[in-house]
Amino acid sequence: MSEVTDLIQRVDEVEPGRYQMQNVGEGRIKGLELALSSNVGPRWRLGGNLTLLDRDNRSDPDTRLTGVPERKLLLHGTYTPSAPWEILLVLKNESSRWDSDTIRLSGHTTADLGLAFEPFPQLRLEARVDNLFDEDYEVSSGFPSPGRMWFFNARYEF
Amino acid sequence: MPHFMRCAYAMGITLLGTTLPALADNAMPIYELGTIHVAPQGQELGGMAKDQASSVLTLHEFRHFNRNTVGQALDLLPGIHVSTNSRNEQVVHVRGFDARQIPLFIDGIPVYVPYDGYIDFNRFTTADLAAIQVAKGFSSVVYGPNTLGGAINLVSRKPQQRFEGDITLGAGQGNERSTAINRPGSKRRSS
Repeated sequence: MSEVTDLIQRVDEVEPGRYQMQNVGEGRIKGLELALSSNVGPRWRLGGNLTLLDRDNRSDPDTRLTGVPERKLLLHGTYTPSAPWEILLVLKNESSRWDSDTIRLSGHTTADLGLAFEPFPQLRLEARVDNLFDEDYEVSSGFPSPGRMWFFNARYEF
Repeated sequence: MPHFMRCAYAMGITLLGTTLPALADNAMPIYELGTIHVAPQGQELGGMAKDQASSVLTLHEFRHFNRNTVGQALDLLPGIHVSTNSRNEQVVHVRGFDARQIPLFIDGIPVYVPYDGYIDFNRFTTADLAAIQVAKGFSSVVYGPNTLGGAINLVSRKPQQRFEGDITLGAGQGNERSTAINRPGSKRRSS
């Protein structure tokens, strides 16, 4: 738990196109972090982590503490069907966050899927799709995050 | 500090070396003097003090999860929230504290942005890094000022073999291209 007096926070658009660092008063931050990762059987590796964060503005509840969601959950699983192949799935869920005193950005869940192939130890080929379900979300008001995107990647080590 | 530790370690070895034969010579009843164990610290890559709330990401994780920038990589950790600001820069919060309260270091050297103090975590690639250390909350005073919420340290890669390196080529939707080549110099000079 952190207690902060004279917490300084960035406030966007105090005037059009301008931001300002403002003293938002006394803040209290409480939270919880959990992380787990384990092999499940010979072919699976599962893991994830959870963050709960409760931030209060104790001097003026109407002035929001912005930019951070109260809950973040990240889950990942790696499946190795047969030796040189690997499938990776990452799920991320974030709850809603305040972007300013009045604007609340809704929570979102994204899924990233990857496929990796290692013909020999030095070479790794990867294909992946980020934001598999084309979730439409914003983490900054007015600036939508990327939709579904594909990538290819090749790495050679010597 | 590491130099001092190494020096102390070497001294411990020499002392041990001289006392052992002496013990073998006279068959005195065995007793133990107060033993001082001196061991090098932080052997594990990115390892941090036990009492520091911290998280570490290593090269293996950057590659496994395909994280090309430090911001994307940090998003894997609990307690860290990565978002994008209106300038399309990646901003990082550690337990609710923003980048002005969690300075970024590269191998212990602070990186500051004079304009407004907000570092774009998109600009730091993971291709040349071995690990990222994140100290959360109350952290060492050795970091210097501004560490109200913690500190982030990028640990660069060091060569392990005489000749090594890697090449990464990538392409993505919407003209996204990436290339990275690592060709570290050898540790010792050839004579």
